[in-house]
Amino acid sequence: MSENRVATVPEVDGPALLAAVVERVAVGILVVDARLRVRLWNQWMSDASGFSTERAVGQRLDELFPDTPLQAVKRKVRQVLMIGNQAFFDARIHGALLPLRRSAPLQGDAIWIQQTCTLSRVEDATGDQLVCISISDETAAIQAERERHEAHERLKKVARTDSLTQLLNRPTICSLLDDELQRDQRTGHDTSVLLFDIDHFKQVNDTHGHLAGDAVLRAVGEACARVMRQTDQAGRYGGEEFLIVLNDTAAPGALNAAERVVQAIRDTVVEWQGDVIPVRASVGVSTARHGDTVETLLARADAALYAAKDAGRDCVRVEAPEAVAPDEAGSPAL
Amino acid sequence: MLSAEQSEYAAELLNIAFGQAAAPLAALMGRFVVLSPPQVSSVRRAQAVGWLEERFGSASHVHVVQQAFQPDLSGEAMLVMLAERGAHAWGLFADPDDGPSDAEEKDAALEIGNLLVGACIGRLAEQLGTSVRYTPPRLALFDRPLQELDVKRAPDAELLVIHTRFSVEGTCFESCLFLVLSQESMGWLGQTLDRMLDELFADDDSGAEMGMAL
Amino acid sequence: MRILIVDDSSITRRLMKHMLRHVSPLEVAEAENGLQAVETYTESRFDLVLMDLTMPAMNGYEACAAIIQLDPDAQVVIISADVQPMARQRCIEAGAVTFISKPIDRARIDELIEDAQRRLAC
Repeated sequence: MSENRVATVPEVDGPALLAAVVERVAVGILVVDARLRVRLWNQWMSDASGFSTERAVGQRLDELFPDTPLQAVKRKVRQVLMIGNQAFFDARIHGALLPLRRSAPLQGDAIWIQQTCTLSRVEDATGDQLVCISISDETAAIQAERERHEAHERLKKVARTDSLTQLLNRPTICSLLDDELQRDQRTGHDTSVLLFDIDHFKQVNDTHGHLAGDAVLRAVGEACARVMRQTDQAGRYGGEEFLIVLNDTAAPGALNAAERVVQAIRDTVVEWQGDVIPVRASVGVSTARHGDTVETLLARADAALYAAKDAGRDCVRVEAPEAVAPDEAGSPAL
Repeated sequence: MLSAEQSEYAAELLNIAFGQAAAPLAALMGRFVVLSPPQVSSVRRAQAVGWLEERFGSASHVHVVQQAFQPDLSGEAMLVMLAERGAHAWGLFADPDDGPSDAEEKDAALEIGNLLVGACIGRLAEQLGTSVRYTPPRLALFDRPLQELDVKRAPDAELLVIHTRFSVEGTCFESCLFLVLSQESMGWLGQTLDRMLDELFADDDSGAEMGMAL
Repeated sequence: MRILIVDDSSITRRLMKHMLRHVSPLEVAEAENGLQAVETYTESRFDLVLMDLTMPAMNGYEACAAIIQLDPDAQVVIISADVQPMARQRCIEAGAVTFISKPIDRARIDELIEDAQRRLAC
C-alpha cells in the first residue's frame, strides 16, 4: 500500500512547485526521523521557532529545544513509525507543545502558539521511514472559546445577582432557601432565616435623594457580607428588604446572628454630601419547622419583622413559638 | 444493509483486523496485548444508551472519542470506553514517575481511542484494499455518566456496534465502537465484499495469485 | 488424506476447503468450535487439523491441548491473525505443530499438505 500518494502532473508541476507550496502554507510542517532529527523544516516553523531551515535541519528536536519536555512527542513518533497510523496532539490539552511564538504587538508581546499537531508516517527516497508533523495554530480559536465561556459565566452570575448590592437577587435566594429546606428533610439539619429591612428608608430617599438611598443599600449589603459566615447566603429580598439564610443554625444561633447584623448595621457609616446618614434595621427571625415551605417560613419571619417594627425598630424579634395545638389545617400533630 | 454472506465475511475481516492490531500495539507498549474478538451487532442510535447500560451498567462513567474517516469507506466512529479502567490509561503511556494529570488522562483516552479506531477501521480498510484518512480524534465526553451520550441527532440511524475488550497485562479497557457508514460507503462495501468473495472462490486460483485470502 | 477444519466462520471453512480442493484423495470434516473439534477427533483420527484460535465454547489453545492428549501424534496447525511472539509461544506449548497467520497464504497451505503427504508416505 503506497503511503505517499501525491497527485502531480510530473511534466508541468513537480518538486519545485511542491517545495514552494510547503514553504508558503500557513501551517508548520516538519519531518523527523526516529531519533527526532529534523529532515524538513518549513518557513512557518522558522518564523515561529526562530530557527532557520539551515539551522534546524540535521539537529534533533531536543538539541533545538533543550528545555522542552519531549517524551510525549518521542512516544507518538515511535507509535506512528511502528503502527503506521496517525497520531495527534490537541492544543486544548497540550497547549504550546513546542516553544513556538508569534508576535502580537497589540497584546503587548510575543505570544506562545497553542498547537494542534498531526503526525503521519512518510517514506523518503531511500525508503527510510520518517514522521511528518503538521502544526496548526489554534491560539485564536482557543482564546475565542475561553472568552465565550467567561461571558457565559458572567451572564449566569448577573442573572443571579442584584447589581446594586452585589448580593443574590430574590429569585435566587428563594430558590436556595427551597433547596436548603429540602436538604433538611434528608439530613435533619436546621435552617433559620433573618428577614430585615432598613428603618425609615423612605425618609432617607426623601431627605437626601435616591442616590443616597442607593448608597445606604450598598452599605447594608457590605455589612451583611462582613457579618455572615461562609455557609450563609444573603440576598436582596425587596426594595429595602433583605433575607439571610443561615445554614445549619437553630433558634439560639439565629438570634445571635440577628443581633450581630443589627449591630453591624448600626455601626455602618454612610456619608452623603457632608451629612452622616444613620442606618438602622429591624430584624425578624424564624427557624424552619417540619413541613415548612419557603412561604410558610418567610410568613413567620415577616410577622416577627412586623413585631420588631412595632416594638420601636432597630431591634430583633423572634417568631412566635410553635403552637402546641391539635391538628391544624391538615398538618400532622407532632 | 449487507446480505448474510456479506455480513459474515465482513465480520471475519474485522476479526482478522483486530487480531492483526494486537501485535503492533504490543510492540508499542512492550507488553502482551489481548484484543478480544470483536462482537458485532447493530442498534438504532436512539437505543444506544440502553444497549450500553445493559453491558456497562447504568451507573458507569465513560470517555467518548469521536473520529470521522474517509474515503471509500467513510463515516463516523464513536468509541465509548468505561472510565474507571481508563483511569489507569495514563500509566501505559506516561512516565510512571509522573503523577496523572487531567491533561495526561485526557490525552491517554484520546490516544487509546485513536489506536482502537485505527486498528478497527484502518485494518479493515486494508483488507478491503483501500486506506482511510481520519479527522483528529475529539474527546466528546470525559468521565461523564453514560446517559450524557449524544444520541439526539439522527435517532433512527442504524449503527454498527463492535464490542471489544482491550487488555494489557491485567488492565482491561472495555469499549464499544459505534460506527455509522455513509450510504455510498455501504454500497461500496457490499460491492467490494462481493468482488473479494468472487476472487477468493474463483476456479482459476486468480485470487490465490493476488495473495489475497481470508 | 483426512483433514479436520475448525473455525467458527463458515466462510473461512469454505475457503479452506476451496484451497484444498486439488488434494486427492481427500476427506474433509468440519467443526464450528473447539468442543466440536475434540468430539469429532474422538470418533476418528485425522492426518491434519487446521484450527482457528478464537472460538466460542472452547478456544484453539484448549482444543489443541485436548486433541494432543487424545492422540500425541496429532498434527494440529493453528491459524490466527494474532502474530505476537507470545501467542505463537502459547500455540507451541499447547502442542501445535506450527502456526499460520491470517489472511491465509495459499502457499503455506500447499507446504503443509506436502509435509503431511510426505509423512504419510513414510
